[in-house]
Amino acid sequence: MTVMDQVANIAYSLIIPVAVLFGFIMLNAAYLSYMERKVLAHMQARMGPMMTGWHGILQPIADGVKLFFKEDIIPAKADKWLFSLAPVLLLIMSIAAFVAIPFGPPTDFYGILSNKVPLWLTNLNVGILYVLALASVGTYGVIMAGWASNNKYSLLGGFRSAAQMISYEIPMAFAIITVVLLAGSLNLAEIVNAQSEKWFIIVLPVGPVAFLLYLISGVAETNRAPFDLPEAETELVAGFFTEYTGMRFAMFFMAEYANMVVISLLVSILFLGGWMPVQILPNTWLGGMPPVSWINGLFRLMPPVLWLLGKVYFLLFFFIWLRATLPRLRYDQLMAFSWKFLLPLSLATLLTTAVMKQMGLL
Amino acid sequence: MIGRVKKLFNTVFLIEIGKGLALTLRTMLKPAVTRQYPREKRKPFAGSRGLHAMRRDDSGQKERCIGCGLCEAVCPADAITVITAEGPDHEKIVSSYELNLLRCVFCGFCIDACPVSAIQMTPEFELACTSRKDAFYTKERLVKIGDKYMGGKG
Repeated sequence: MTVMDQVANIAYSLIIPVAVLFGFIMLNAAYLSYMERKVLAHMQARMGPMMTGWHGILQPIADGVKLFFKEDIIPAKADKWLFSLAPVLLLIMSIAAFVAIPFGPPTDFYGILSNKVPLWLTNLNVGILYVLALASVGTYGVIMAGWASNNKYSLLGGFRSAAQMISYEIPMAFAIITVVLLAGSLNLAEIVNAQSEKWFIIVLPVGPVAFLLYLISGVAETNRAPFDLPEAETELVAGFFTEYTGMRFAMFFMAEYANMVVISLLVSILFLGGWMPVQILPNTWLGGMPPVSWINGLFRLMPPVLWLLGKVYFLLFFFIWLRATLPRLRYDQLMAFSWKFLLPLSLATLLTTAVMKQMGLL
Repeated sequence: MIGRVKKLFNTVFLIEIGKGLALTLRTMLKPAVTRQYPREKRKPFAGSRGLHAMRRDDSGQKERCIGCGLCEAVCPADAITVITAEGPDHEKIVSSYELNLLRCVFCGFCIDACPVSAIQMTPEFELACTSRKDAFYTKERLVKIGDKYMGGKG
């Protein structure tokens, strides 16, 4: 193998996928803010950004340029190292989660490439555990930001965020374990493959419950409405990132949007069949018969990646939709909901799944 | 009993949240009520109280104001200052008529008070200015606005 071959190999297997993935994350982080503003505006009979480009399509770029040139203020009494480390840590943790997420089965892009390439960077055996672990480390970023700002409101905001994130991680983890039991694997690609016949959301009786548990915890985990107490724009200034300006502030936002994408990807992968196409009726039950099988066959023509991304964007739209609809919870309601309702329910779901699995009912 | 079952059903299947989501989705499909202001301006309503204007007298040579000072007297915000003097033919002339828009509350009392309908209101509402001086409307400026809206006639 010559040096050129090795360079080509590295480019082929590492640099290009990383570049594509990073581009995807950054584009999402930028344009989700646009999507959020637009959807939210129209749900409130407004128009949202309209001045920059066609229907304000260049707004994220304008925002980015603005934030980039803003003065970078570090409060005089802040802990400078932690203050600058916190947003970076948070952003890195949310970006790192994408590494283990499979976007589709290995493909040769309809014959463009000579051999099939996987649509993931690494296919970890413990993929879901890795993603969950990164989400927990992200909580440190929040606490760090609150502490390092040396502002009592930031600190309280940081504590509130951390308490919320830790509380909702538990039902979330139990919902995930339910899926892991159903799929028999921690590997995300295998979890998707286990849903080729039946998505986990329609595995009665536990599927829909686990799905809702995960969805609710996911919304709370990403600190989004109706669980956006850490931020609570109408009540607090911004919670733990009150003191941040310019690019550091932008990093928190990018991390939030990247987290939303991660949660949407996970919901799609764990419950909505990942890149499996929609079947209007399952193959085993009436699905093989002509009119139904034609539609199912038509759905199968669409590339799997687009199915996954379609589900992801629907979920992202759903998160924004929720924000436009539901009022914010009170802090005690938030905690009581997690510990007194979601946690027992998730435990019951897990137990039911385990028992039914053992009896061979699932 | 039926009510409790219904309530339980509503809670378990998140009926109320579903209703809320349906409402926001319906609103989203309706057209927005926003007016893209600097680009598309609303036609002012009849009788809207905007910037003041001074009409010309019947000769069309000078302002119609007779310098009675009633507008100055009635103005609740003390925005108007009228100074009169004696002219060459011993008639009363208005040597200075000044409207301070920084004080004006656009109540329209000056218009009601004027015995000769010399001062009027126009639908002009874009009154932002970059210097304090621009907020003071002298007699000449007011007449110019009157010309713009009433075509220079008496």
